[in-house]
Amino acid sequence: MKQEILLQLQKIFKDFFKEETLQINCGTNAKDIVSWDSFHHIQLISIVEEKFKIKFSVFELADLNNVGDLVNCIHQKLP
Amino acid sequence: MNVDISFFIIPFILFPFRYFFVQNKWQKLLILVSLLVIAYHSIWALATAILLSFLVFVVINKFQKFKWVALFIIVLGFIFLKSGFSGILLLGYAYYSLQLISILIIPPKNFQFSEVVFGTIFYPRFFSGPILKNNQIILTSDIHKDLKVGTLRLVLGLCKIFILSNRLDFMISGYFEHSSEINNSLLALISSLLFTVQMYLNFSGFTDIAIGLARVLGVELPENFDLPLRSKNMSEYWRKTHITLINWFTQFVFYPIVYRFKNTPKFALVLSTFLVFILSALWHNIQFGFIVWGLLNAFFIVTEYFLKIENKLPRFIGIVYVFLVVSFANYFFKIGDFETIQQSLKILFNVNFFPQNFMADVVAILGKGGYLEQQYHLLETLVLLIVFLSFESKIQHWCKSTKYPIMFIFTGLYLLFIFGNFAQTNQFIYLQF
Repeated sequence: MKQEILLQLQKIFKDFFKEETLQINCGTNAKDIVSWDSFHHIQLISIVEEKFKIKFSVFELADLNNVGDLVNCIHQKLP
Repeated sequence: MNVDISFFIIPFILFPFRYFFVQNKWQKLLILVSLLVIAYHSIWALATAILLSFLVFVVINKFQKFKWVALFIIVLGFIFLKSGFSGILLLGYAYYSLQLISILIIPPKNFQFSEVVFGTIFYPRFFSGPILKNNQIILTSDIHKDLKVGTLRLVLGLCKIFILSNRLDFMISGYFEHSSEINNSLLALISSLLFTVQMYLNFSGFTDIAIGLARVLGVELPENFDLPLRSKNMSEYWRKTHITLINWFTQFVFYPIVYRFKNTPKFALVLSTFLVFILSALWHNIQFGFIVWGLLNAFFIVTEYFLKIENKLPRFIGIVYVFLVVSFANYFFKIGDFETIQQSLKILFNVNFFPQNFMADVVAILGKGGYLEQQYHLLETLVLLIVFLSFESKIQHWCKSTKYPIMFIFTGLYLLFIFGNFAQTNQFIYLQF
């Protein structure tokens, strides 16, 4: 299940950051992707919410330190 | 306010006891020692911190409905503090109040009162941060490594403050104490650039001291700086400066606003960025210069975003650009009040950039009189500064490794002995906030 989420995120990240060669894993964080700043973080999360049909609490956003945290959070919220 | 020598020595007196205490008991001992250290500096500051910790603890456990009342009380205390009325009563308030607000907004589960108090009053970070995420303290267990890494970090902090920051303070005070009278733009520029470096070295030096002392006591504090003077755009600079404060504002101000207005992202970005920097300015002080400082920083970040130049500048040009912009904003931060800023700006924009006599109008003022000895002192400071900033990344790496710690500690102490300037009164700038 988590692997599936990661695969879907891979596509979202590629489209959002417009980098065809971008490869993500659970350890990928904002330091690895130059454009991943706090402003783009919210836009990225909005797309994730839309794709997975889930909602994040606004205060959860600061605890998503890497792709692994995002995968876990999505996994918890999926029915 | 400055801390005294006991602040630095206590962790080394306590250190041997780490071998005999289990973590739970050790935490209690650290609370007791912190209570004593803060009471020694100000009993009222301690009473305020304990009272507010108790209020927050009771509210998050029993009366969650009243959390906005508790929040209001904390903010009111903050206004009281920044109105300049408080004196020593609210020492450390600006730092621990943000931690208490964070646990009021996101209440942690199964939080003991001792944990709230520990996060609030742990003394190495009480006076000037770093600000703890969720008011939580992380205890470490590798006693030997903690002693080596902690001592090394402490020595690094002392070197930054007493060798570099204090020498720079000596130089730039010649300009800033008389900024409304000196009609020399080049000197203003040099002093502003040096002030930016001094402020960074002073605050990061004090953070190193806090992190080092805490580590000797078996506590891992968060990092507050990550080589900010090497940033190539303003967004990067603010991700690497006073990290714990900016993270707090990002979590509790920036994200909620951008998330709320995510359908109008450009509006959300402008609103949230300006609000973060205005609040950050007010956090420092309710004064004209600080507001201008905040507005300038927000303006440059937003402009960078809209012009999409964030990552397009070559690295070297980006670094120079950030250094100039940050120094321009810091000029207002340093001067503070409206009238002095107005007078000094009027003079600065009405005169020629280059002075008629470089030695008399620039070197002499930076060298406090320009005697040969002082000029040598000036040159020595600049050489030390350039060497340090060039190797800063390597020095930081050495301080975090456990290879040859004794050699590095003694080298640092030797340099401190040879080049240290211990005569300054304004040793720790960020203790005043």
